[in-house]
Amino acid sequence: MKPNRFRIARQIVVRAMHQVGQTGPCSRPHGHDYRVEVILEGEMDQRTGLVFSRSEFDEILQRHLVDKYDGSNLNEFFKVTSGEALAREFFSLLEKEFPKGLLHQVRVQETVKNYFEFPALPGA
Amino acid sequence: MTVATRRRSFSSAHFYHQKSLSIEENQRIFGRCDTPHGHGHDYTLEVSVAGSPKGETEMVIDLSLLDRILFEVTDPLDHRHLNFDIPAFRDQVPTTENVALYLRSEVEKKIADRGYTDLRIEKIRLFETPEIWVELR
Repeated sequence: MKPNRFRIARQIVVRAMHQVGQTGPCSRPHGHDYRVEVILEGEMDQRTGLVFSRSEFDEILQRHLVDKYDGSNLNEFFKVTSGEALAREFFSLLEKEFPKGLLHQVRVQETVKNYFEFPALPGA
Repeated sequence: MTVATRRRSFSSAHFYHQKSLSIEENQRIFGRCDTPHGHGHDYTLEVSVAGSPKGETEMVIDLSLLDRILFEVTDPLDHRHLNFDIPAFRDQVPTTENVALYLRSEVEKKIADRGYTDLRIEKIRLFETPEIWVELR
């Protein structure tokens, strides 16, 4: 990154149920406290000292992730709900809500043992 | 090349207000971060240093030295009000971005002062809260 080019990130929690596949423990309905971290990358506005408005960042995540999916059954919204698929789906739906090119990566932490990042980036 | 990261926490107060903007614009841009007295955070600074492992210890940098450097750059901010007590933030908004920029510059000076020419800062990550961070490379 050039100097003064920043990544900024915000994490929210989505408590939701899902099931994945046809066999094994993941195929039984169960739930997670998904910690979703949304990472933007861009230039800082010298006047405000911000890459992106904090309250707008909050609002976007609240409206498009928390309000829609917190307390839900994710299988009602997405065909596949593995961590990989959710990271990709959340990236795709959030991309439209930020200025073009600002959304850098979405990281979905399913449990303390596993997390998924989309897209995969060098030096992330 | 190997990267070594050390973290240190500090607690500071701040508010966001840009003097060159109107009251309404400040409210619109900064919302509840724009108050006369401000609010506080327990910041955590992570500094990642890249270099070649050296000598029999194969360390990139002596971690107690890196810890000392982190102490020297964060202690002046610890239990202080960034807007009122720190000259660097008299005329610029102490957003996490600007605090990260300031801390990177201070860490670079400390490393240079000690003569470590073969080290570079890979990245600085500053957590404003456990859920909000800013990174500068």
